[in-house]
Amino acid sequence: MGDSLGFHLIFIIFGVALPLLISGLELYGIVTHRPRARALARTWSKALVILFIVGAVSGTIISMQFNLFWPRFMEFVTKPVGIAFALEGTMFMIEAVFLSVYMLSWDRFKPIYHWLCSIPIWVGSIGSAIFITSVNTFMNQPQGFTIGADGQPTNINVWKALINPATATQLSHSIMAYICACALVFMAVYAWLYMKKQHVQDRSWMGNVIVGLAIVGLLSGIAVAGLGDRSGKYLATHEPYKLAAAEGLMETQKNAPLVVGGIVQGDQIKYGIKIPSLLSFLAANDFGAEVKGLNEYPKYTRPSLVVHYFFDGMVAAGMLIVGFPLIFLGLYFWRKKWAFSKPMLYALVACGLLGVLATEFGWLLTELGRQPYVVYGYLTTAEALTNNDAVIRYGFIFPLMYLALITLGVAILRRTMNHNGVTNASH
Amino acid sequence: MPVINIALFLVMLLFGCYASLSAFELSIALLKLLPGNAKLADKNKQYFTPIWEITNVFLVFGFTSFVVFFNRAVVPISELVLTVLGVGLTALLIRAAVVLYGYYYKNSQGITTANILFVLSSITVPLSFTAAGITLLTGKQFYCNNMGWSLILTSVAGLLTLATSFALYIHRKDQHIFLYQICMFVALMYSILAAVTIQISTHSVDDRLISWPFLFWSGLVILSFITIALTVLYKKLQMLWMYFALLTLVTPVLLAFSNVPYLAFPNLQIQPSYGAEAYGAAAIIGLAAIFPIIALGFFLFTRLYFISAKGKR
Repeated sequence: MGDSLGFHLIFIIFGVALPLLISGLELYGIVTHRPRARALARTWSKALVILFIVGAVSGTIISMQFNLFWPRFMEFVTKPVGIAFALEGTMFMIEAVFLSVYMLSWDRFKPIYHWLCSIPIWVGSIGSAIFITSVNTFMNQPQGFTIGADGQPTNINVWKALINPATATQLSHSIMAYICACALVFMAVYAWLYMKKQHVQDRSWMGNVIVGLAIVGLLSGIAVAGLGDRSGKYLATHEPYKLAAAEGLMETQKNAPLVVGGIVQGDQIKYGIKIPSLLSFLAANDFGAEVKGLNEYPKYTRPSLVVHYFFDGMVAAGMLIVGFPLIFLGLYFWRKKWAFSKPMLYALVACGLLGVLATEFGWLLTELGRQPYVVYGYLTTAEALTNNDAVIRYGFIFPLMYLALITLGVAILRRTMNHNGVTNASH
Repeated sequence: MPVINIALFLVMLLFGCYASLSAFELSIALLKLLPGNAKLADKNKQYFTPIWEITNVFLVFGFTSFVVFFNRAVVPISELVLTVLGVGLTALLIRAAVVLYGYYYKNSQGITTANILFVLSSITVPLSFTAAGITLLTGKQFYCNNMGWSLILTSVAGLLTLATSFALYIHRKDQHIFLYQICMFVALMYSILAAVTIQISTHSVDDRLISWPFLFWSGLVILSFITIALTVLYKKLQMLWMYFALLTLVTPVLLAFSNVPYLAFPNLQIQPSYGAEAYGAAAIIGLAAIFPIIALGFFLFTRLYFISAKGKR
């Protein structure tokens, strides 16, 4: 199941953020009377279709896997938050229908009417992300029900279940991260194309595209960092076991240190650099604040300290994806030639990968940090799994299929961006 | 009409929508097998639009609605149907890979490995769901009883009839004689196999099979003979595909209602399986409220799809 989620997440990043970027770019082209911006939006929309097709299939597979592989999980969550699954599907349908309308009407509607068709696409994509992430927030902070005699949720309050303490933090952090990662991936693509293209005219407009995307990536990256800080405080209050596991904090303590790097060995993180009191500050804006350790929880309910790697990976990648565009933009306004030097462009290409990796690490931290529970405090992952042994077979088949899909997807995207990315928008 | 019946009707209608749409997709896959030129390839390519991803939405909707409404039956049913639906999921992934491959090699017409895989995967996905439905209807996997075999073969013939007749309709100017003969053959096979299915069911002592939904379905199957005859007589292909689209749409609904009081024969009854008291009615009304937006999108799409690009700005 992890392979499906990890694979699908790549397409969620683009599925959620790209419609918004395309819509913004098209509006910018209309308002400022720049046909080149509209042409670029059109090229990106072609890439969106390819990403959408693969993402829709992997999304369908995940939906079915939830039902088939994790029946007890679905049995448990469908009562309190099942409506979110239905609404997510509806939002996806709105997105799919209007994406078709949008693609077919490029030369047929007036620009402003065509742009209006882009609104339901990003409303649908962000709406579906909101509803499905709400289910995940429920898994982290289950509420809005009582447990009946049969062990199933009863006395259900759907709103309370969906709008729980995790909802605002997790939704804002994840959706902003998708926008940041998407902008960075496209910036990386254009940085790569910039290095490959020798034509001065191509390079000139590509440089502008890179600058625009770097600004979007930087601003959204700063927003993600701010929201990440809020997430840290949320974790310290509502999911302290996750924060403690991410930092290998075994004992509750004041002036808790932040561990950077290191190797996880059993119940401890060795060889890490400890920065005194920083974890307390991150948790409560107070260097002397008390942070809960894993000793507060029974041993069998503690998550693995392996999440420390994901937390560190996410933060490190986050710092680089803010840092590189910042340096690039600084150089662009100070020494333009240096901004487009090969080392800087390679750094921008790396930003694309780092953006996706940071998002993947974030979700790995969220999911593995909740283990051994799938619905915290109520249902363990082992209990949720089906008893049918056939599930093991698909553990081998699906990763191979995903590999084939991603290879083909990248090949087609490469051709689309290489061809249309230059010809449509530059001439 | 109790909410529980509305829930069953909605779920099965969604599966019916999926089955019909997947047959249309199959028609595109079949057309790719034809030895063709760039014009044919271009025409086929225009059918690859994101709108087809809505087919998958119906699948997800159907399955999710089933799980939400009948969540007390999720555990036993998922274990019953996991194997057959697992095959369907694998086919879905293969199909997606082949679609992407088709994007990459734009003029790939003819009998190639990729196109054959495209056809096989396109038919395997709906068939895996049919097989799951048969398990719920008969209490056994489809390959373990005569009724299962006859139903799955009927489904194959039905899907192929709808797919070939639709393919012929959208390429009606090209006069594909061989495809026409295949279409008529599978249409007749459908009627014969469906008649065999009804015959097998009448030998059963089970009361479910003499319920009105089953009788109604039997009537529709008999009507398919007349539709085929009229199609041949008047050469109106749209009559055939429209009738089979309707038949494919209503078959899951009618067979599921003929299975009542069971959700999964013989151990799971529908009443105790229903677990959506919390918001069953609210979910139905809420979903219905969003349909106007989707309808607007469909309206715009169909308008755009059929108008010429020139002079419409």
